[in-house]
Amino acid sequence: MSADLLRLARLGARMRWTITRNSLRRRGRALFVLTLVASSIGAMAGFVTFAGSALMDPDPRRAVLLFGFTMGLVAWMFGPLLMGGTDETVDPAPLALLPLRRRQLAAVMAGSAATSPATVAVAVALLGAFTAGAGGGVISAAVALVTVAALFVGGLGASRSLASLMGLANRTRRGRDLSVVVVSLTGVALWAVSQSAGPLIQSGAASADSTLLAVLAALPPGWAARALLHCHDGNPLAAAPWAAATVGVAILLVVAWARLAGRLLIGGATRVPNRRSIRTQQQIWPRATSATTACLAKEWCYQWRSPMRRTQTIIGVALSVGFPVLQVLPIPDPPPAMVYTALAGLLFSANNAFNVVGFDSPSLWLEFSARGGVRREQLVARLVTYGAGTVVGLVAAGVVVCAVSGNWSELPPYLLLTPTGVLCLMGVGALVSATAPLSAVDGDNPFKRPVGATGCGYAITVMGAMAGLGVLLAPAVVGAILLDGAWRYLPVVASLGWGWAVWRVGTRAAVRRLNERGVDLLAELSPRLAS
Amino acid sequence: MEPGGAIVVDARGLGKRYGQKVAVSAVDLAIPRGAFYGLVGPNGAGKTTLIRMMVGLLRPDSGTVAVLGQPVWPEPAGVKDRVGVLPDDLRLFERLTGQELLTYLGLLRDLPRDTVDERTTALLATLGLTDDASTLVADYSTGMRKKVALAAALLHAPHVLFLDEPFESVDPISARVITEVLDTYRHRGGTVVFSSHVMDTVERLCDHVTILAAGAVVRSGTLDDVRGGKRLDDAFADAVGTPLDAAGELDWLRA
Repeated sequence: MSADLLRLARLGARMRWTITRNSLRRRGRALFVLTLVASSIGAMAGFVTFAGSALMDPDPRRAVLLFGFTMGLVAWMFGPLLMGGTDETVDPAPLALLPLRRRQLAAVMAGSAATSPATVAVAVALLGAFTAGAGGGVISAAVALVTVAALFVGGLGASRSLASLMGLANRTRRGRDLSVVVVSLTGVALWAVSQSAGPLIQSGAASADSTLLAVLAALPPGWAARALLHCHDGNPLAAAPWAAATVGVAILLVVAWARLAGRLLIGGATRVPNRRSIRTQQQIWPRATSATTACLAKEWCYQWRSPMRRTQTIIGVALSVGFPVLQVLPIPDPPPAMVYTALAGLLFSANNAFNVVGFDSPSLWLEFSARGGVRREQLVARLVTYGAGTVVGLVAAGVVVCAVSGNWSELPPYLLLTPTGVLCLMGVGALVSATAPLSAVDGDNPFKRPVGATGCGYAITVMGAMAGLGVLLAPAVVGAILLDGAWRYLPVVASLGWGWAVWRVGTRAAVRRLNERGVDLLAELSPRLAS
Repeated sequence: MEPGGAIVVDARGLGKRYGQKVAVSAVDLAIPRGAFYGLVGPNGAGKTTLIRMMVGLLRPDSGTVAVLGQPVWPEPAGVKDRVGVLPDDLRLFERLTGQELLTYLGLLRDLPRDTVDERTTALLATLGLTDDASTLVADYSTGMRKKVALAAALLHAPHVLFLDEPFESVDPISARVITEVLDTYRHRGGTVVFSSHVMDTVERLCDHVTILAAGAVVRSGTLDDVRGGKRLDDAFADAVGTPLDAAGELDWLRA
C-alpha cells in the first residue's frame, strides 16, 4: 500500500474516532461505558470460545468454528442494520466533493470502518481463533494468521458491501422496501439460529456428518474454519488451499465494497412518482367528501409514501409471520391451538400502535394549529390504517402456522379473534402514544431509531401496555382453547364487543389527552416544526 | 473581450433524464474565466441537475463537459481538486464539529496541516462561525450548515466555484458576507457559477446569465444581452412565460 493510501486510511480512522467520540459525548457517559462493556464482553466471549475450541474434541471444535464464523459474519453484516442503523461513515456521500479516486476512497473508508468498538471486538475474537489454529507448528501458525486476517478483512468487506448496497437500494422505493423485508427476515433467522446454537453444536459433537455443518463447511466462512482445523492438526499443506480461498473471497469482497462505495458517490435515481401511486391518488381523493373520508384518504396515501410508515408495516408483517412459525417448527406434532401463538404478531405491530402520534406528528401539528385541537377522525383514521397492516400480518401468520403444522381446525376461530386483537391493540396504542409519545422522523435510513425517546419511562409504559394487552385478550384465547366444538366461538364472538369497547375508550381518552397537552406535546414531537 | 479570455467550463449537449422526465436537454454552456455566472430558472428547470453534472456528482446521459480543459467524465476526481462545490443537498458528517469537519476535509485534500488550520480559522471567522466552531454540524441551523459547506468549498482555494442556491435560508447579514467573499474571490481571478431564484442578487452580482426552463437554455449571454434593456425579472418572465391573469382564479380570496 502506498504512503498516500496509508495516510488516507489513517485520516479515515481518526475521523471515525472523532465521530464516535462526539456521538458518545452527545448521548452521555453511560452509553459510552455501556458500549465499551458490551464490546469487551463480546470480544472476550468470542476469544474464549474460539481459543477454547483448541481444547475440545475434533467434532465439537469443528462445529464451534464453522458455526461461530458463519454466525459471526452474518451478525457483523446484519447486526448494525438491525440494531438501529449503520454509522454515518458508511455512506461516502460527504466525501463526494473531494478529489478521491476509487482506491483512495476505499482507503479512507477502510480506515474508518476498522475504527469501531465492534470491529475491535471482532478482531480480538478472531485472535482466539488464531490461537486455536496456531498450535500445529510455525508454518501452520503462519497459515492460520493469514487465514484469520483474510477472514477479518473479508468480514469487514462483506459488512460494508451490504451497508453500501443498502444505501444504493434506499435510493428507490422498491429497493428500500425489498431491503427492509430482507433484513427483517434475516433478523428472524438470526434469532432462530441463535436459539438452536447449543443443540447444533451438540449434534456436531455427536455427528460430524451433520447436514447443516456440511453446508456451513461449504460456505466461505467454513473455508476459513477448515484451514484453521488443518492448521491445528499440524497439516499446513492441507490448510493452504482453504486459506488461499479465504484470501480470494476477502479480496473480492473488498473490491465489491470499493465499487459499491464508488457508486454511492455518483447521483442515483431521483424518486419520480410511479404511475401506480399517481393512479391511487387520483382514485382516492375524489371520494373524500367529508372530514372522516378525507382523513382516511390522507392516511392511505401517506401509508404508501412515507418510508418510515412502510418500513414499520413491512417489519410488522414479516416478524408477525416469522416469529410464530419459529415456535411451531421445532415441535414434532404441534397441537391445533398452536395457531394462537400467531397473535404474538400484535407485539410486533405494537411499535406502530404505540407511536401512532409520533409518526407523522407534523400532520397532527397542522391539525392542531388549524382548528385548536386534534380531530378524533384524524387519530382514528391513522389507527385504522395501522390496524389494516396488523390484520394482514395476523391473518398471514395464522395461515402459515396452520400450513406448517398441517392442522387447520383452529383457523376459523383464530381469524374471528384477530379483529378483537387489533381493536384492543389500537385502543391501548392510542392511549399509550398520547401519554408517552415517541417521535419518528422520515429519513434515508429505514432502520434508524426514532428520536426523542423518554428512556426508561417509555420502556416501562410499553411493557405495561403489552401486559395489559395480554390481559385483555387472555379470556377470549383461553376460552377458545378450553371449549370444544361450536362453543369455542362463544368467547371469540363475545370478545368482539369487548374489543370495540377498548377501542372506543382508548381513542376518546387519547384525543382528550392530546388536546390537554396540546401544542406543547406536538412541539416536543416536532421541534423543528414548532420552531 | 471575455474576462480572462478563456473558457473554464465547456458543456456541450449535456442531457439527463429521470425515467420519463427530461431534466436537462442538450444544454451547451461556455463559462468564461473570471465570470460571475448566474443560472436562473423556475423550480424544476434543471439548474441543480446541470450543476451536479458539471462537477461530477451526477453522470450525464448525453453530452460532454470539461472544466479548465479537463473532461469531468468518466473520472470526475480529476477536476474536483480544482473546483469548489456548494451542493443543494448538504451531505455533511453530522457528528463532527464545524472546525473538525473543515480540518478533516482539508487534510483529506492533502493540504498541509498548518495551511488547513490557518484557513479553517480564517473561514470560520469570516463566515461568522467562530463561536460555533465547537458545535456539532447536526446542531447547526440550515443557514449555518450552508455557511460551513461554503467554507469547505473554499478551503482549497479552487479555480472555479459552483454554488447551488447559496443564499437560500441565509440571513441578510450572512448573505452580505457571502457576497463579499465571492466578490473578493472573483476579483482575485476565480470564476463563480451559481444558481438562484433571487433576480435582484443575480442582477447585482452576475456579469453572465443563463435562463433555463424545462431543462433547456432559453436565453444565455452577458447580463445586458439577456436583459435586453429591461429588468432581469421582467426579462426572465418574458423568457419562461407567466400564467395569464395569475390572480384571476382567486376571486374568492378576500378578507
